Amino acid sequence: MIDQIQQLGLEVCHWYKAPLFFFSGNVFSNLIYYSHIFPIVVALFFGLLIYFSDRTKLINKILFFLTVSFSLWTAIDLVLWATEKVPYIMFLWSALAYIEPLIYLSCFYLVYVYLYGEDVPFKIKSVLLSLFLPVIVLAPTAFNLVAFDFTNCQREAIEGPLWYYIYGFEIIITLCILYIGIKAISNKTKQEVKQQNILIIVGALFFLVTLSFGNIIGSFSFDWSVAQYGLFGMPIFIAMLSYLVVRYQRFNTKVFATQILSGALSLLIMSLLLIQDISLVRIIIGFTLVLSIAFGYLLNVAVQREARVRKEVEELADNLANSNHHLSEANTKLKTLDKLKTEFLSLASHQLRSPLTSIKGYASMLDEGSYGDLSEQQDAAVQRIYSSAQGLVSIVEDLLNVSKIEQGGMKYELSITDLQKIVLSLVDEMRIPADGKKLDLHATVPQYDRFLVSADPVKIRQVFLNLVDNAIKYTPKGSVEVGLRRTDEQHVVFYVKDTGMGVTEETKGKLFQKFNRGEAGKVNTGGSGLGLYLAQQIVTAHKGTITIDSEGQDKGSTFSVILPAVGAHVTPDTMPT
Amino acid sequence: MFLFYTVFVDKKSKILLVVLFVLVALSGIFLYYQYVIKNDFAIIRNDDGVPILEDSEA
Repeated sequence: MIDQIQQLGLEVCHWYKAPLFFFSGNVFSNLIYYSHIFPIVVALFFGLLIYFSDRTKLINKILFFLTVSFSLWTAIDLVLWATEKVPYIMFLWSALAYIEPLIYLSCFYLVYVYLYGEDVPFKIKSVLLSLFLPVIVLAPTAFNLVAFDFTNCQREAIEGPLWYYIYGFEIIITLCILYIGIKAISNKTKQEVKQQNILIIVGALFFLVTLSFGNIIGSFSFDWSVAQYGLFGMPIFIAMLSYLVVRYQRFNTKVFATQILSGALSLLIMSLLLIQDISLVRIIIGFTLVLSIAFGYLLNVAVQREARVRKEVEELADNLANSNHHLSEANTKLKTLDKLKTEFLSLASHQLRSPLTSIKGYASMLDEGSYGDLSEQQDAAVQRIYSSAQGLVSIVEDLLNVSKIEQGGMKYELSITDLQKIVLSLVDEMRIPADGKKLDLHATVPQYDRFLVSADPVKIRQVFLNLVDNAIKYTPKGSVEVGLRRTDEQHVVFYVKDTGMGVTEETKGKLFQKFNRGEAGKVNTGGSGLGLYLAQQIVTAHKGTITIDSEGQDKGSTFSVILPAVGAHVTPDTMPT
Repeated sequence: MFLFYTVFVDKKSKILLVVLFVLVALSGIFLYYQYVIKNDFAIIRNDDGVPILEDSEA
C-alpha cells in the first residue's frame, strides 16, 4: 500500500527523491533552506557560545537547551519539506508534537531565571510538565495526526485535536511569560535593569508569537509556506540576547559581537551559493544588510564602551600612581620631621633640666637661710620660684619620658612590687596639696590581702602619682579616694575616685592622646597634657590596662589601673589567723 | 531530553525529568514502530486512489 503510494507520488505528483532527507526538488522554493538553515546555525552558534562561556550557569544551560530544541524542530521541519517518504513524514510530523512544547517551556524557564535570578519553583515546574503529559500519551494516536492526505500531491498530514491542545498550551505559556514579565517590570528596580528585562521579554514574546502564528496559520489554512517566516523570530531574539551580552555583559560572557557578526555574515554570504533566483538573492542581501547594520551597531557600542572604560581606568591608574608618589614623599618627610622633633625634645629637655635643677637648688638654699635671713615677702617669692621650677621639672621629665618611649629607649626594671606600700606612701606624700585644697584624701586598702605585681616600682609609682595628682588638681571640693582591690585571682586594681569635674563621653576617647588635656585645658590648672599618655604607655608595658569611669561633667570620675597579679588572692575568709 | 535533564538543578526536578524522559522515549519508540516499521496510519485517497496534481505544484 505504502509502496504503491510512493510510486504514485513519484510518477503522478513528480515528487523528487531526497536521499539525504534535506535536499530535494520537493521544496517549493529555495528560500526554505535560507529560512531554516540560517536560524539553525545562528541559534546553535549562539547557544554553544553562551554555554561554553560558563557551563555551570543555569541560565546558560537553559539557553543552550532552547537553541538545541529550536534547531531540532527546524531541522525536522526542513526534512518534512524535502522528503518524499510518507512514513517518515508521518513519524517526524508527529515527533514535532514533543519538541514544540519544549521550546515554549524552555523559553519560559529562560525568561523566569533571567528576571528573578533563581530557579523556577518545583510547584510551577510540576504544573507545567503535567500540562505536557497529554502530549506524551496522545502523540502516538490519531489525536496527533488523523491521516496522510493523498487526495492531492501536497505530501501533508491532517492534524488532529492534539494540535489544538498544543497551540492552546503555547498560548498559555506565552501569556505566562507576559505575566511574569509585567510583574518584573512593575517592580521597583534600576532603570538599566528594567531596560534589560524589557528587552528579553519582548525578544522572547516576539520569537514565540511569530513561531505560533506561522504554525497556527499553516495548520488552519493548509498553506505551510507561511510557517517559514515564523522561524525568523529566533534570529531576532538571538540579536536581542546578543545586545544584552554586548551592552550589559549578561550571561557571564565577554564581548562576542565580532564572533556573532562574522559568523552570521559568513553564513549569509555562503547561503547565496545555494540560491539561483535573483529575486531571492535580493532578499538575502537585504537580510545581510540589516544584520550587518545591527551587529555593526552592537560592535560599535561595545568598542566605544571598551575604549571609554579603558581610558577611565588608565586615568585612574595615573592618578593613583601620582597620589601614591605624593603620599610616599609626604610620609618620608613626616617621618623625618617626627624624628627631628623627638630628638629636639630630648635635647631641649636635657638642656633645660640642668639649669632648672640649679634654680631649684638655689631657691631651696635661700628658703633654708643659707644666704642669710629673708623677709616674709622674699620668702614667699623664693617659694614661688621653687614651686614653678618644680612644675617645669615635671614637664621636662614628661617630655624626656615621651622621647624615650617613642625612640624605644624606655627601660623597665621589673621586680615583685607591693602596691600597698606605694599607695600608702603616695597618700602621705599628697596629703599636703590635698589639705591645701581642703579635700578629704584617704586610702582604701584591705589590710588582709597583699597586692603584689611584677612591675618597675619607680615607673608604676609615677603613674599612680600622676593619677592622684590629677584627681587633686581637678577636684575643687569633696574627696579623693585612693585604693586597691581585686577583681579576680589574676588581677589587681589600683583606683583613684574623686568628686571632681568628671569626664564627658566625648573627652574619654581623647584623654590618653598626647598633649590632650580634656576639660582640664579649660580650667587652666597647668600641665603638659602628657601625663595620661605616659601613664597609659607605662601601664601597657606592664601588660595592664587603664580605664576611666565617669557619669559626666561635674559628677566625679574614677581612674583604674588593672595589672596582672602575682600570688594568691586573700579574702577575709581565707586570711591566716 | 538529556540536555533538559542537565538543566534542572534540584533532585526532585531531576526525578520528574527522568520519569518524563522515560515516557517520551517509550512514546517515541512506539510512534516510530507504528509509523515507520508497521506503516500503520490512515491515508485519505481519492476514489480511484490517484492523487490530483494541482496547478501550483506543476
